[in-house]
Amino acid sequence: MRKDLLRTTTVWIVILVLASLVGMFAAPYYISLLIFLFIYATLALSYDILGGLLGYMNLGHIIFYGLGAYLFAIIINNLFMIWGSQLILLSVFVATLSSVAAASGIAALLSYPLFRIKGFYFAVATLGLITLVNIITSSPEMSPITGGFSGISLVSDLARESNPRNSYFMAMTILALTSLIHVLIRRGTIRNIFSCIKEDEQASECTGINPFRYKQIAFIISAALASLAGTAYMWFQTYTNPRLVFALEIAFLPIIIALLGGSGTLVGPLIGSIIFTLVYQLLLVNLPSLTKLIMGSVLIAVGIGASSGIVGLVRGLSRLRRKTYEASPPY
Amino acid sequence: MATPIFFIESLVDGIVLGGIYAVIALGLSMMYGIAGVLNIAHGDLVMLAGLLTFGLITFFDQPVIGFVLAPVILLPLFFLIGLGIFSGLLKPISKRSPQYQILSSILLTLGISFILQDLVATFLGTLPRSIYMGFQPLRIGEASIPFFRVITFGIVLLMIIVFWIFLRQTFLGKAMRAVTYNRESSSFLGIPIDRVAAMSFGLGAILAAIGGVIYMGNGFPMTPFIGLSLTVKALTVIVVGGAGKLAGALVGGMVLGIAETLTGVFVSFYWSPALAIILLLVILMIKPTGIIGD
Repeated sequence: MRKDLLRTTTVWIVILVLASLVGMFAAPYYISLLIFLFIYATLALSYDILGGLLGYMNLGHIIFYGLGAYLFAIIINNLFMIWGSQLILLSVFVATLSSVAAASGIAALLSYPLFRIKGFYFAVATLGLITLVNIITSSPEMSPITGGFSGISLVSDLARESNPRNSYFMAMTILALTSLIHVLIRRGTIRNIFSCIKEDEQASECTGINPFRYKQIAFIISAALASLAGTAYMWFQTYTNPRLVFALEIAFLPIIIALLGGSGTLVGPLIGSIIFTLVYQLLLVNLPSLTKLIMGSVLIAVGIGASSGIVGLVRGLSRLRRKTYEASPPY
Repeated sequence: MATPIFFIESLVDGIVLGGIYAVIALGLSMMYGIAGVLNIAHGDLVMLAGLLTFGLITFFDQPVIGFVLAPVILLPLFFLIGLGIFSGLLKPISKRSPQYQILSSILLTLGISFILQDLVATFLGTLPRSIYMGFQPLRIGEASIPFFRVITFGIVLLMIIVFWIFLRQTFLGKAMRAVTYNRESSSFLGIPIDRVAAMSFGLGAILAAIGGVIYMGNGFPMTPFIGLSLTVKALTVIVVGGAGKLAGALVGGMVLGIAETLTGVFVSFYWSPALAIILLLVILMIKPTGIIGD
């Protein structure tokens, strides 16, 4: 076990170093592709904390991504006006932290009504929330703060400080942090509690677990990580509008990626995001009008395929080869 | 602006809109109660029916003919679509454990929704479509009420009555009620649950089609992307009124329809789409277990 852990850690450190080298030397096009890959992977992994480990399908996960982007832009624009261009690093740091804190607070508040429902109702209510947040952010009443329909952008002096390379390292750090949290949750005792709640909520309540508390914790963690992804997106793109971050097309990206790769694992969402980023870019460039059709077909395929994903498929194959016919859960 | 006459006219609009929501929600509630699957593509079926009606009307260039023809063509078609969705996609996954069944069916119905949206957008374009039937409005005192509102009200009432009789008097209706109350006991009694569930999907799709046709007939605009918001509205109606109850769907639909219309008229049209989801969250907040207790 110890040796195993050491080996895995070494592999991940090597991957991290390689990624940093790529960030320093690769061409800008690949860097921006990789930034999107990191952002998608962060979203998928953070979705997986609530969706995969706890079994609550949060279709509105993207809300916190958008909130992160918006809050980051609002806060850093104000900080820039106060502190000027001298303290740019500090203001990025402060803006990121405070927007994550604000998004977590919103998640904590939302968890009270949302966790009174489960299953289908939870999924559709969270889906409806995307529309609500979209309406609120683009409303004329909010437009002095959020910029309404036309969106929000970083102040131009500030936007000059952002370049693909520093955004790359920001996104990479965020992905590494998300992976670490995902692994810690899966290795810790909290995993047992989560799977207990996932399998049978009433039974776990009888054994003295407070399901609401744990669901709330998972929701807040996943929301905080999604909003981190949003801050990286905002720092990289320096502009966004409600149709870009609160859109239903993007809302399903984390779910499709997590389930395509294999929910409840670390490698799964990473593999899923690599495949997805490449395919999605190709589709958007070559067949923009058919993107939704193809995504729908992928959703149906993933739904039929027991949603154990690529990782599940590979595991199933290797188990067949080793001829150990132990009973295993579908994930 | 806010004269009593104007208020009454808006109220009539709200009641009619609520009736349409009730019909749509009835289909969704039936599918969920019997097949145990929340059909997220339900709103997209409504959208498909509405825009196919639009297509028929522009094809014949004669609103009344197109509109009379629409149910004749669409109802059998949607029955088959509903049956096809259930037996082709949802039945194969019904053997899985509840956790994975929920997950898979959400993905499947969302996939159907995406595909329908993209197909309709490709063939009909993404512009909002609406039709004008060309009837003279009825005048009652000083208030003028569009003639089609009255027809819609009649259709909705007729649907509710037919449905009520269907659930009480026919074998299939009784079987459906039995399955909704207790799945296991009814399978012991020899009710073919899969077949009943497939029928419920077919009938639910028919209700969606009727909803779409009268939505269009009233001159409400429709885009290919309206589906998901209609699903959310239908869900709100179910939550407000209580699942699996005819009267509940009617009451919930009226509440939502009137609230939306009055918000639109007296506050701002911008905010009326937000009302359904706010209502949903507020009701879930007030009633700790949700009005639908499992």
